[in-house]
Parts: sequence; C-alpha cells; structure tokens
Amino acid sequence: MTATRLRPCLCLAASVLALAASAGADAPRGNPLGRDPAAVRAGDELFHERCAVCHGQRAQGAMASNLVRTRRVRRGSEQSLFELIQTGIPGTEMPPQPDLPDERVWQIVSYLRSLVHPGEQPQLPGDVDAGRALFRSAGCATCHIVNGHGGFLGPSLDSIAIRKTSDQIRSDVLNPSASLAEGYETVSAQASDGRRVEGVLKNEDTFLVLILTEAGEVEALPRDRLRSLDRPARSRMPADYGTRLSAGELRALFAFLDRQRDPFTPVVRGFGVY
Amino acid sequence: MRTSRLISLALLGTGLAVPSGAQPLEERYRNPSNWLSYDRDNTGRRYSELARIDRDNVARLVPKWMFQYSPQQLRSEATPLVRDGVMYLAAGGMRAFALDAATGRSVWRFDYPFDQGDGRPNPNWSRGLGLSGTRLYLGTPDCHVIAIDSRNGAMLWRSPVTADQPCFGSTGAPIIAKNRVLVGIRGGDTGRVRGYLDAFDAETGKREWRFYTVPAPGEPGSETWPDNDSWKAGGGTPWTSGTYDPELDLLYWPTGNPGPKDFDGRNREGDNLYTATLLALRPDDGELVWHFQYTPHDEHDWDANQTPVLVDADWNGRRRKLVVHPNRNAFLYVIDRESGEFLRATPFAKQNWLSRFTPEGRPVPRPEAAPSPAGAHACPDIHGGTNWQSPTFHPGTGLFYVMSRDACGVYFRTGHSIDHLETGAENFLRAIDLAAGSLRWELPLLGVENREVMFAGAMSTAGGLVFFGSRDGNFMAADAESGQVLWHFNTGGTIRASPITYEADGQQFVAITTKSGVFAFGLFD
Repeated sequence: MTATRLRPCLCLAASVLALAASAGADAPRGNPLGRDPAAVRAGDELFHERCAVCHGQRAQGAMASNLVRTRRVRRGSEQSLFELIQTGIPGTEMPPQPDLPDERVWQIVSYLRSLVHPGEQPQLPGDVDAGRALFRSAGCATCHIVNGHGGFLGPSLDSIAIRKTSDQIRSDVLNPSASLAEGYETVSAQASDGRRVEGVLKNEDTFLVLILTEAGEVEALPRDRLRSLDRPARSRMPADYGTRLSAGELRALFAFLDRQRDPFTPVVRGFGVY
Repeated sequence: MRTSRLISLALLGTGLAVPSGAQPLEERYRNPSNWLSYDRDNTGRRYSELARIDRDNVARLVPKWMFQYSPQQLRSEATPLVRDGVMYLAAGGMRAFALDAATGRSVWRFDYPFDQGDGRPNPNWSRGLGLSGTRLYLGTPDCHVIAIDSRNGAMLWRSPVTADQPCFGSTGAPIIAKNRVLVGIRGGDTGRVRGYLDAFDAETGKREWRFYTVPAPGEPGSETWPDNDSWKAGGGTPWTSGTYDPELDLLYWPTGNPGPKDFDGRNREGDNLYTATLLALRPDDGELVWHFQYTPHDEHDWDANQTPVLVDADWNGRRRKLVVHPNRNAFLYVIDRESGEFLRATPFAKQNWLSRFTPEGRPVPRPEAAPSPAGAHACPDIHGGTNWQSPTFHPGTGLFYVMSRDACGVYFRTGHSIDHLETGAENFLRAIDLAAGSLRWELPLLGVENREVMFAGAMSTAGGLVFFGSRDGNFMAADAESGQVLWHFNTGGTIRASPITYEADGQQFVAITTKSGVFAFGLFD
C-alpha cells in the first residue's frame, strides 16, 4: 500500500478559511412579508412554476446559477433581489416578470431568503454560558469549531443558527444521521493489504479517494488498491446526546447553538472542481 | 543550444497525405499534423491518423506546457485549432490567441471590443474558431461573426448574425464549406427566438443565405405548427457545429428543441419541424435536400445538437454513405446521408420514453413519459443521454465512442423538472460497435462531481487510443479496443471541452481546454 499521507491538514483548513473572506451582509431592506410561512410556501410554488426550469429544484442550479450559493441572494438586500426578479436581466435568458404584482414577487424573495437564511427567528431562551461549557465537556468541540476553537471532522458551527432553524439544529443534535452535512460523508475503506481507513470523504474521482481521518491526516487511496469502500449513510457524530444529556443541559446547549449567528461566515465548500 | 524552428502563421503546402480509408475527407484535412476544424475535419469523426503516441507508450505522457488566460466566464468550451505549428484558441467569444503549438508561448492576442457591462451580459463562451486560408472565424456574444487575420490577429470583417428578435449569442464553432462560413445562433430555450443558420462569404463577410429552422406560415413544414404565433418563437436553434460531405455537396446540421423549454407543448401542437432535426442542406444556397426529425414535438428539451458523424461503411452487404448521430434522446441513429433514409436506432444510454420506432424511424413514445401536471418519470433526464460534447469514430476499431449519461428526471408540465439529484445519475465513456449497434465496453466516471451533467468529449487516434475528459478535471487515455485506462492526469479545473492532437516540432501533442487554459501533453523524452 503506498497511500499518500498529507499533513498537516489543519493548516490547510485554516488557510482556506482565511482566504475565503467575503463582504459583510447588507442590511436587509424591507420585505413586507418577511419570513412569513404562508409567503414562503406561496413563493415556493411560484418559484417552481416560473424559475425552477432554469434554476433547478430548491434553487440549487441547473441551466442557470445555483441561487443558494449566489452572493446576490445570500448577501444582497431584499430590495435588490425584488428588483432583479421583477425586471430580469436584459439581454440574457433571465426574463422580467411584468405580470406579477409586487406581493407575488416578495413571496419569491421570501422563499429564496428562507433557503439561504432559514434561521432568522427569535433567539431560544436558556443558559448560554452553561451551553458553551457543555459544548466542550460533552465532546461537541472535538469535531466542531466555534469562535476559532474546536475540531475539524465536522463542519464549523459559527453561523449554524443562520443556516438552520432551531428545529433543524435540534434534530441534527438528537438524530445526527437524519440529515448529513454536504462534504462530511462517513466512509470506511479497506485497502488491498487489509488495512482499514475510516473517516470523512473529502474528495473522490474515477481513480482516487481522499479520506480525512480522526488523526487529522488526509489519506489519498488509489481505487485500484482498494478492496472495499463502504458508505454507511450515518454520521460519525454520537447519536446518544438525547439520553446522555438532561433536558436542562440540552436546553442550554440549544440556546448556545442558537446564538451562533455570525453573519460574516466564509463559505467552505466540499470537494469539487472550481 | 536549441536550433531555431520555423512555425508558420501564413500557409505552407498541404503536407503529408495519408490514406483516409475512402472516408469523405476534404483534401485540406489530409495532413494529420494539423487540426483545422472543430472536429478536426469535415467528417466530424474527431479521429486522427497520428500514432507516435500509442498504447505502448501513452503511460509516458507528461505535460509539455500550459497556457492560462483569465477566464471571463465559468465555461471554457473551445476546441483549439492547429496549423503548421501554430495553435489558434478562442477564449470565450471575445478573445482569441495564436500560440506556438510546441511551447505554448503566445504570438498574438485578439480582444473583441464588446463590453459585457453595458447591460447585455450575454453568455460569453465559445466552442471554438473556424479556419480557412489565413482567416479565422469566431461567433461573438453580440451575435456577429468576425474574421481575424491568422498572421497578426487583426479583424478583417464583422457581420451581423442577427434578426428582428433578441440576440443570445453565437457560441458554436463556425464551419467552413466551399468558401462559406456557416454559423448558427443560440437561445431557443428562451421561447423568444426562431432559429436559423447563416452562410457568409469567407472573404467578404457578405451574408449569402439564411435557413430558418422553423418555417413561416405557408412554407413547407409550417403545417407541423398550429395556427398561432408559436412558430415565431419556435426555437430549433442550430447552436453547435455541423459536418460536410464534399462528394454529395451536402451540409449536415442538427437543430435544437422547440421553444420555450417549458415541458408544455400545448401551445405548439404538431411535430414542430425543423426542431430536434438533422438538416441536409446545399452549401451554395441553403436548399433543404432532406431532413430527419429525431424527436417530433420535443417536450423534454432533448434537441439534436450533437455532432452528425460521416462514415462510409458496409451496411448489409453494400457500401453506404452513412451519417451516425448519437442523439440526446439516448438513441444512436444510423441514417443514409445521401437520401436521409432511416437505417437503425439503438439505445446507448438509459431510456424509457420510447415504445417503438416505425420503419421510417419515427418514434412512438410511451404516453406516460410525456410531461404532465403530476410529473412524469422519464429517462434520459433533461441533460440527455449525451449532449453537445464530441463523440468520436475510430475506423480501425469500428467503434463509436460516446460520452453517455444514465439518468432519469421527473418532468412537470408546469415548467420544471426534477433532475438527477432526486433520481440518481451516472456518466460513462461508452464504446458502441457500429456494425452491430451494441455496447462493446463502458468506462464509468466515478465520484460525486461526475454524477453531474457532463460536457467533456472524446477523440480517437491511430495509436489505438481514445482520449477523453471528465467534469472533475481528469484527462484520460483508454485502449480503444478494450477500454482499459492507460493514462490519466488531473488538470485541476473542470473540463467542458473535447480533446485534439497535432504535431509540432517533430512531436505529437495531445491538448485539452480546461476552465482557465489549455494543457498540451507529449511523451517524456
């Protein structure tokens, strides 16, 4: 087995974060419908009627761009998004929507913003300081970074309460395998010499698999030297927080996570080509 | 010290003539050192007689040079051209370069004066240049075709490829036939254009004819459109390159889907000629000699903008002039290119939309596969069994190599489709035995990135090799007979183009466009 070992991966991750700095968020300018669930639902329907043909299901891109990743949708003002939808982009295939009343356009804005900022809602009550302590003592920080400290196997949680609703965060903590984070797929490979490599799949192509191990090493494994590559559809995160922590502790932990709303969050992408 | 070396920006002789195996090859394409047209020559086979790089030594292929330019867009889809040691490269529809093909050093750079920030941010990508004599031809984002002097990059003329309708750019590589420059338009998906193919005098830029791919009321074919205005925005745009048979004096040009792309054909009942069709046209005047429509009344955006490949072969005991077309609807068609007679269609990718073909080749679709309010599960998905990327035919193996995609979609009549994200997708390089119409071998392209839509194409050589790329940036060579991968290289940027090969400074090179430039490979020495 001649798998290449690359280290130290932590330096790599840190430099990616440093390089990926982007402009801060504009102050949102008045969508009269806000994040009203009925408006989001109506916008969802309208989006699929008029926009999904080019921008894809859940706005994740098809013939036209992935709106969930578009800076204009993520960070632009709601007013500018409104105008973009209403007037289209002249000379391109993005058409104007002259027949849509303002309220209907705002519904699409509500829907799009719900995709990228689903968690804009009142803060959860609870003992935030106790939650912060639990984040470390219960082992969360072993794999997750918050405020510059923590592990690397799981995604950073700095902006988790912007990206997710409190219900989604609760579900992720109590049932981590229900919804797996993109770029953090659990894999278990067995090399042709019998050695087993377990960790998080960071990249793969026709010839190679890159696995980030708990030791912080990225192992590059040629496919033709693999006996097996298992992809159990489960998270490496412990699934017993619901029983291990008391109701009060969970309440504190959720309150702490709910405070993680730093709008200045670099986007760190999983594997792909850029 | 290295001795000086002559490359020529002007014209040298035609060079070494190589037997072409009675294929309908124009004289100017016989020198295998050069790559003078989008798919190398007029046949669309994307096959080269060069054989210095072969199955035995391809593992010694190394990068010789890379040329990088600032990508002006996310797509670099161009095929470079090479003549007499000079590479000509389109970088988007607004920039072109001449490079020393042996070293990658630039000789000149051309910038088209078009400001993308002036409120007309049209898609700015190009699939390449056309070349004839000392002139290069390029379609532009503002719907013009321009001629550039290959010796110094000066613009010689600029002619509009516009009509009284919105312009969405001209992205296909122009094709030269009989001193005419042929170029089409894009934008059929928008439901705002009526497609056409234009022919320009290669020397003067004067437009000589225009063939509308959607007939006006009263013209032949108009009976396949309803009595409303849908024809005016009927699409059928010929947005890729065609091929040319000099003996039959026929151009073969495929057309796009009907517009708009909304999976709802109720406003355009009928077959919607000449959308999703192969046209056989006279290059002198654009006369339509025959046509073959693959997907009448296309409601799945399956168009026909794939390369029509010209092959002369024995067919049921008789030598026939064939056009072989791997269609986006997942069938590989074999058609008599003299008469347009349908000979055979066999699936090369996953499909469930067809019930049967009539003897004339008209598909009888399964009604359940038609888009519906509740959503119809149909294969292939919107990206098709293949797409615009080049296939290749190797006359030595008799195999036709197609970048293929197995994927299904759920098509809603309300104007959207759920694509492979929900239904799973795999991409392959497939080798199809042309004589039997059956699959000889397939190479799956693995990894999450390679499950997305693929626009990397293939090229084959007399060295017994097929070169091909994949979306994740890998550039690969496989044994053309067995499909075994013999060499691969990670270019580090997504590949949305098809490879070429050429000779310069006495060496064979293989080159591919990636996102931000061109890589050229040669044998380690």
